Amino acid sequence: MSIFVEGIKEGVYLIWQMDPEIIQVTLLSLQVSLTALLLSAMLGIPAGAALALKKIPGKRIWLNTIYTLMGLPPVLAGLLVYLLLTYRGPLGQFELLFTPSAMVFAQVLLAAPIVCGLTARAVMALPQDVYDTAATLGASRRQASATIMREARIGIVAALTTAFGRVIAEVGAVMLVGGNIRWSTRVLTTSIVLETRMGNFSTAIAIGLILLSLSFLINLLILKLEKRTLRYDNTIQIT
Amino acid sequence: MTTQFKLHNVVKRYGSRTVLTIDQLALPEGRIYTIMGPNGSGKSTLLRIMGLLLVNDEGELEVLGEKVNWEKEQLLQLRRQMSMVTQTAFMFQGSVEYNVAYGLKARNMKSRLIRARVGEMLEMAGMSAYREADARTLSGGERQKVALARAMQSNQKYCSWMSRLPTLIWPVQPK
Repeated sequence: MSIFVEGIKEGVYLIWQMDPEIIQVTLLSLQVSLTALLLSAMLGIPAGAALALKKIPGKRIWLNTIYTLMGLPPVLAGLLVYLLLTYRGPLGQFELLFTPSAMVFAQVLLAAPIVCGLTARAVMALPQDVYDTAATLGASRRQASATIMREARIGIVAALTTAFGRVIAEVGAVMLVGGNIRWSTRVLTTSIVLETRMGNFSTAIAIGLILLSLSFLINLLILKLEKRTLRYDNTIQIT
Repeated sequence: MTTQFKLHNVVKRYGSRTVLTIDQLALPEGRIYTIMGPNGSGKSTLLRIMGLLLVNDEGELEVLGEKVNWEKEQLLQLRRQMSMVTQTAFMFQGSVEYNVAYGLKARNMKSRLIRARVGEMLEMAGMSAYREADARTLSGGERQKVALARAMQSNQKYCSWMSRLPTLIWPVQPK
């Protein structure tokens, strides 16, 4: 038990001390995962909406593929990106391997299917009434589509929080394509692996605490934003 | 007197089940029509086809004097001259005001005009006090009133209203 107490103490101390390395590692974690989330949202939300709303040949196969990719093992995503970016790989000329860009690339591969799949599900769960009402009130196809996305936004926010949780906590992919290089590609999760291997368990716990707190804060922010756009609480009342 | 709706040999199927067969139907303008029938007799399907929300499998359809070709532009232009209140009176997430303003915003009306028009419509429906209320917390009858207010806000030529009769007590005296 004492090792946890030590870890918590050290965590508070590290944060209090504003250790420059910890700060750099934390900021890089945030930068990589938030960039990956942003790119995944830009790809995944329109793709998910299209998958749910458009008549696409082989729609079920597409959905099944996306749902499968939602569970893509991070190491496998890392391996794929590694093979693409390695010097002999098809994208080797850009020399991106072992850079934060490679880490973003790998994380997008993990997060975009989640955003896409959950957005599609959120849209498909809406009743036909949404479109019918919008159309009968004179909305164009584009306006009605915007309304559908607005009605699905709780589900889309859930998709984004799930995707963020996945990438901020993920270690296999960033380890493979980032290489855990000090001051360059080391992030919170890879630091935990490193510290644990070196036997610095309390430091590892401390970094874990920072990771959790960070995730807590980001989700708090997302929920705040959601509440502001939602204004009304649509929770089902159970008595 | 022109004919607003003409249906000729219209058939609608869901899979192998035929849910609607109309040989001939013509509705001239300026009247109120009531469609009555048992559950599953195709009343809503007919209104959804007439409201251009459902494509018929066979037959021809003429709406507001135009032969329907189901092209995007035609659908929008015709739909903007009609409105429909469904039995569920579905409300978008948001306030009553948001719901009533929806169709006006879709027509790019100026926000100052929208505010005034929404006020008038809510007053007519006897729902002024609910302007800021969450539309999803309204009772069934209140929803119907809001749905009617929102459906009749622009100068439509035709409005269909699917309802079980006792759901609404309309507070306005006919002029």
